[in-house]
Amino acid sequence: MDDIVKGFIEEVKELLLQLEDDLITLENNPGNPEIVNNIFRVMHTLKGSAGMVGYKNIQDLTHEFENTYEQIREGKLQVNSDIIDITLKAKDLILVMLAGEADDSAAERLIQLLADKAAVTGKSNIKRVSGTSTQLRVSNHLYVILFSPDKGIFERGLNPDKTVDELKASGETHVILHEKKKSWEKQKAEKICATVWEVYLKTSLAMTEVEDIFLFYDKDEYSIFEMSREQLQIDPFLSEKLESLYKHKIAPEQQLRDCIDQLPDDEPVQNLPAEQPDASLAELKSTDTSRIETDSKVNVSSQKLDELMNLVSELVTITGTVEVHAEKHNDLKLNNALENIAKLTKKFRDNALDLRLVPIGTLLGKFKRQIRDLSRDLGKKVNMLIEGQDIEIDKTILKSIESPLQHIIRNSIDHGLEPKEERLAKGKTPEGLLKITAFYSGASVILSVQDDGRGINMERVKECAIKKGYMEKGQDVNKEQLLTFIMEPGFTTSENISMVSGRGVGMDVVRKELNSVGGSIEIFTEENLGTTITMKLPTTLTIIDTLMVNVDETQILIPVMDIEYCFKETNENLFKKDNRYIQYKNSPIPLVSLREQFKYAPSEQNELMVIVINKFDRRYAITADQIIGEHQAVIKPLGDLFVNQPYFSGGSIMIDGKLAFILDTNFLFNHITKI
Amino acid sequence: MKKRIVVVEDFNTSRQIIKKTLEAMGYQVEEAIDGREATRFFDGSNIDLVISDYNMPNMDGGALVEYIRAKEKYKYIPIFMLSTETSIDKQNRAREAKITAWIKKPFEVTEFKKLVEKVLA
Repeated sequence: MDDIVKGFIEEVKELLLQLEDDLITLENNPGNPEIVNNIFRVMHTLKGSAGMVGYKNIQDLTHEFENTYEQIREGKLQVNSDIIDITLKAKDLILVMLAGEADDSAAERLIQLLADKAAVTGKSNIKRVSGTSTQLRVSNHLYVILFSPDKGIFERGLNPDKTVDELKASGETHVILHEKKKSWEKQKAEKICATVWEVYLKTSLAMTEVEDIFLFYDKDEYSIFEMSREQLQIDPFLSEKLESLYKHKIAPEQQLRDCIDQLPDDEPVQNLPAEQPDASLAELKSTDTSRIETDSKVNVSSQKLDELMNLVSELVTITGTVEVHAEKHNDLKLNNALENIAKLTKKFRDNALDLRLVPIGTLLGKFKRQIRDLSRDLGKKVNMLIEGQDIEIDKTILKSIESPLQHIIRNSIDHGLEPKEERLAKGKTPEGLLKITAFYSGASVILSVQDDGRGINMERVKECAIKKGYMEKGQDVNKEQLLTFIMEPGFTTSENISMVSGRGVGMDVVRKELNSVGGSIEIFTEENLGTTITMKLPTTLTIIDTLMVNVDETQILIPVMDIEYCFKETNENLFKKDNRYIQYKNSPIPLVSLREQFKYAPSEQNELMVIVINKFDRRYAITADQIIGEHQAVIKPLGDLFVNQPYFSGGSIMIDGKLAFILDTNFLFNHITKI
Repeated sequence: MKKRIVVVEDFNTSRQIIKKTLEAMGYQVEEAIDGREATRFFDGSNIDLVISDYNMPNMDGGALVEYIRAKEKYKYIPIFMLSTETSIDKQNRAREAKITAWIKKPFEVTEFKKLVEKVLA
């Protein structure tokens, strides 16, 4: 059961995210029928499934909201921000309910609030609504029903009396019993049914609703015919049935006419606009199709995905090994088959990887609410733009950037964007702009948060940096470097929250989090123009394309997404000079000897390979003995032995079974810029 | 008094879902993992509805229905049979086996609740 509930909670959380997103969208376009429909559907789904796993309170709560949104959907109620506010609160409450920490009074209060608000806005409407619904309930259908249950009906746990009573309760009826030899009472006592009921029913129920009354009966046990009082058109099948029932003693037409006359006359029927039921029907249909679409998604636990990824990783490794061994045999058929396996493995890998990818919008949607609430609290009007919601990224990565992103967004609104008056004085628009953009760049995803606020005060940063001992007074430090100080641990103190517009708060933690998933972060800021924080993230964590190089005996893997250029250079040109810089594209970039870093003896080769690493347009070069080639690295965490070294972010098993290390290009960059 | 429902299903997850659903609706639920275990509930005490899987080890749904219908007290109680079978053929045979309704697995909860509420109304 725990698993069921867990699965349920996961599913509901996703639904709620979508709900929140829709609600905020709806606030901006109150008339959007599709969004209203979405919200209605979420409420409907929640209502239906919550009770199933024992969340009666969620079921009851969502029931009320389902009703409200149904009214909105039918145009009987106008959406306003009060209703949206209450619904957002309901969403929060459901989360609390999921955790089992809600008390009933909270739900009651919310439902009461909803009733008040929905009634206030729709006052005049609601009255009309109830009028309309009685009109809708006008008994305008006339049915002739022949009900002939199987003789063993009692042994199926059913009682025809109950069914007939249900028919009687659903409208005006005229019932004729055809009891055959024994009376119905006697048949009942003997539990053998041989009776046929002929029922004339005038009701507001649609045909399907009448059929529902016979839910437990088989198709051959009942027939329902819809008749018109004015034009008596008799179905030949009904005619035949009646004839056999009355053994030709009475003409079917006469029988029907007589019985229909037994029913009370219609009250003056107020004609409803014809399109109304049709429209709602069409809407219902569209609901159904979209539900089918959502249902075609399967929720899989991330644990299962991890397992699959592990297996795929193994497969990738083994395929490589087999390929190496097969090459020795020079067997054409074997090689062909292997080539196919390799192709399939790659497809398999790509598909498996794809399963882990989720659109970034699922996370960004979460922030919409926070941005809305925070800007409301601070009395700032924020114009929010989100671009690239469809960009897909590994779920684990998405999860790990959630809190950093939250941090950054909060800082932007709280400290970056100025209050209205200040903005107007600066000649800016009264609303602040917050733009979140996501896009692909090679194998990585770039995610940026941009605001047009007051920017980071560099003088203050400098003061703090001096105080913290990162630089000397009077030392000339460029802006880029100053900004990197912000992300140093300990740079954040409560006093500099106010001094640097809070930009320092937790930025070291943000950077650390991003680094842990192989991402990096960069800040651009211009005083009074705003700040942009850009994150570069790998799309996936488990398999990456790398370039394999040799450094002495060690095989090093460099992520291809970080490599800009490779070239050969003589040992002399590289290291037989005073500084550790090389010329690249007409500017000097730092040079790192991996041999030196790893404390190997300097290389005696004449020529070395130089690999230019590009991290956010900041470049540095590393030297290796030899480039072996590209390698699809299945990343494995390094064991305890390696826990204290910062150079490598992981390892990968080579096809020959040896271990290769994945270079942490981020660390190396920070490391050399510090020297 | 709470209506009492016997739920017979060998697959734990399904049984738990059904149980939870029914309990949330306010019914008293007795659980059994197969037909044989279910027989212990038919001891003369009051049972309002039986919901049973068809394919089960030890004693399947068909045999259970036979057992229930052979007892005077339970001869006319409603029985829902769960099955993934959709073929009319099988359903007809079950009709001869005297059950109230087939419920196709997986079922929609709202639909399921409707059936239960209807039969116990």
